[in-house]
Amino acid sequence: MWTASEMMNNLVLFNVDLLVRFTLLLAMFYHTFQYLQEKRTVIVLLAGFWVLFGVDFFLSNPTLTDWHNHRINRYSFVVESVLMLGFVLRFFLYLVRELPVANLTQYPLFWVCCGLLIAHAGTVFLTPFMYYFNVWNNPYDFKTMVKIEHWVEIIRNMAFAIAMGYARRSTN
Amino acid sequence: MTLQTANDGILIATIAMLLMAIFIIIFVAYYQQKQAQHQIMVKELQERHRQELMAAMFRGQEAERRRLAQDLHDDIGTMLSVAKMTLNQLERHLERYSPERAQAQKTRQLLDDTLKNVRRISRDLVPTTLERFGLLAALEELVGNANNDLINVQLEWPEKFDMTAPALDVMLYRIVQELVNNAIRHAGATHITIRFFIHEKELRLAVLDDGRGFDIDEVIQSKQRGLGLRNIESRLSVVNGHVTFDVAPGRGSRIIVQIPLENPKLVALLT
Repeated sequence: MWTASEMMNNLVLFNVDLLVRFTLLLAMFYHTFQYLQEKRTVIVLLAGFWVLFGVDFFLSNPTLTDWHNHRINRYSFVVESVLMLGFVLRFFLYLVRELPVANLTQYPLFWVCCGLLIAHAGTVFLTPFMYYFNVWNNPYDFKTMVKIEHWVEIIRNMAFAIAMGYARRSTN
Repeated sequence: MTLQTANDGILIATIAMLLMAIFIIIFVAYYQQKQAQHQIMVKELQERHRQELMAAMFRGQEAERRRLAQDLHDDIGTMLSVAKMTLNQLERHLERYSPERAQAQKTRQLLDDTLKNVRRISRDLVPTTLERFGLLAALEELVGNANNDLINVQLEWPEKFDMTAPALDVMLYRIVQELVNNAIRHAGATHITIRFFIHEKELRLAVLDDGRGFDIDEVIQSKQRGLGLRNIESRLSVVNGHVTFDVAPGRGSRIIVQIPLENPKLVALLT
């Protein structure tokens, strides 16, 4: 396995992480949404994202054999952020309209979506530039933005931890 | 556009996005909580309304029974008595041992039986003892009527028990009547015990019998057979009470009714 500590480009893992993460989160929304139309939309968008990801992967890396200069996808991260913000807002609309739970603060999916909303709201304007900055041996220039990105990711992970805590409590 | 300008622009846009995200989260949490509280309030109101409807329905049922009993007693009972008197007069004019006289005697017997039945039905519809002398006397009468050579019904009544509220008395009487009838008619019980007691701020009524029992799920699902039991549950729901059926086919039954004494609805009923 390539790792940064061994001075090897591991951005391909970053790309794969996007695909896995997006697929899993859309699976979560698929199970959460009640209506068939919404479920179909989730499947279509997931399939579309897979296609986009594949095309983007090849366009962002014309020379696939050059692993040292491998780059992250150019458009996929932007699309992921926008789609995820849309899904989270749709989920919040569902929460307000359908009232699936009496106590929202103990509802795991609420925390997951809070984390996702903060994380993607904090990085949605940064993602178009990630392709240019995440190049091997090229330092980040947007220092404040990078700090914000780290902070929102910390907040997202904390929200996920709270969600897992509540999910575990409800299954016990 | 320099890198610094782009950086500032993205930073401002990101901060704006983050503020919006936080606002959305707070709004959703606040709005949902408010909606949930509103929904709980609506449910409570609906439940209260349902209970009031139930109470009104049972009051109407009792009033209708009273009217029916009065009509039976005053109109049909009186007419039957007059018919019997007329028949007696007619019988006097008939020759002794004639077939006509025998026919008249048979008709009189039929009239007697009909009068008895009318009185019984009238009494069952409105237990006058309950209205005049209270629940204990009415239950003693009920037990007395149910007791015979084959069936032994016992009533256990606590010494310190001064629950006197007509509505509650009627409710308890009807429940006991239904359970005793079920035990005799459907379970074929020969020993029935009716027990009243106070347990942990609850009025409890236990009806125990040695009958052949029944399958509670089957009875509840059956529209006809489960009517009486559902009626008990409906009556109890008015005062937040509930009934527990410890029953199974092939063994005696144990049915326990629990009514919380410290509940505002019961207090309202009692006053």
